[in-house]
Amino acid sequence: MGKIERKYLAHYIDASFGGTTEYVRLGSDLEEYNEELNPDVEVKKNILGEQTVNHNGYEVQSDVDPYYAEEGDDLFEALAAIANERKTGDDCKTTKVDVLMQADGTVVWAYREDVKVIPNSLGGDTSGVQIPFTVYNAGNRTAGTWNNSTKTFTPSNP
Amino acid sequence: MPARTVIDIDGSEAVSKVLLTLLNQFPGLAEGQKVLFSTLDEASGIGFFPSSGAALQRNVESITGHVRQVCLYPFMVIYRAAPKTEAQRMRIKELLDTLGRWLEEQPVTINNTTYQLSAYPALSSGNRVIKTIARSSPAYLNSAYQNGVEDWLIALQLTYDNEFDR
Repeated sequence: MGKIERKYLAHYIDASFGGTTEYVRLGSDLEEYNEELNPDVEVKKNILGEQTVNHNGYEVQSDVDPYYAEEGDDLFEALAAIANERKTGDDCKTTKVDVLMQADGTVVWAYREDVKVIPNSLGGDTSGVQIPFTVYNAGNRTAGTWNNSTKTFTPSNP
Repeated sequence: MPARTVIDIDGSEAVSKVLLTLLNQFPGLAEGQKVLFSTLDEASGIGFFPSSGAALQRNVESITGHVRQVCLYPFMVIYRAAPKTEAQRMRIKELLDTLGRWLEEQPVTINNTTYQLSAYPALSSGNRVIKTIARSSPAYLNSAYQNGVEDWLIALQLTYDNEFDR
């Protein structure tokens, strides 16, 4: 059993932000991308020496940095609109799909989740216009199937 | 143990061809004057000599399997002549320095006309794109022979990107 190549774990963001769904893949400029789970865990010990662990859930987020603007890139246009118009709240809300595939394209699993996408800066160095952003997962995580040709997600239990 | 230098062979060939054409478009060349590839006549001429080949300088693979390579193609241009006066030597040096500036996409003035290279030519091999050409030295006298022939040299390096999906 060999290692799974990183390219087979794909991350898509709906660039329509509430319009007609249009998933675009993240990562063409990323050498690394981590979905930080940030587990909220509290470990306690009582006077008897017994240890208890309270796990209160996760605060999942991920940074996309760098993100280079490309002409005709719908995600860049959406991000630029958020940044330029100082949008907040549900105006920054969209969905994200994480997909693990096999080398032959077979989908192993796929999950969709609501997210809020917040740009962190706009500009960058001479290598090109950049708009790095953070993806904050906002719940409603749903398992389903992923069609890699049409870039569509279908929930298992709609 | 020194790191092994990886050479992009396909890229080297593509760059050599395109660069030779580009050098021959330099507006500072006299009528009938031609830049030759890796050769010079015994007493005069201009030649373009790749120093090594296109060395892979950086290789970055994204999480999507997209690979970006930055390759460096060092080369030199040698002007061979038998100058009789200091003024002739100055003219040769000036010509090579002007060539360097022109290749860097800087404006240059030749015979009261300003020229500027607006874009680098496309490379025919794969997704390779020339990003920069820059001087790594000013023009200088590299060799002087007993028969009065001198080789003036300017060293440059061309950087190009190569992109593909693994």
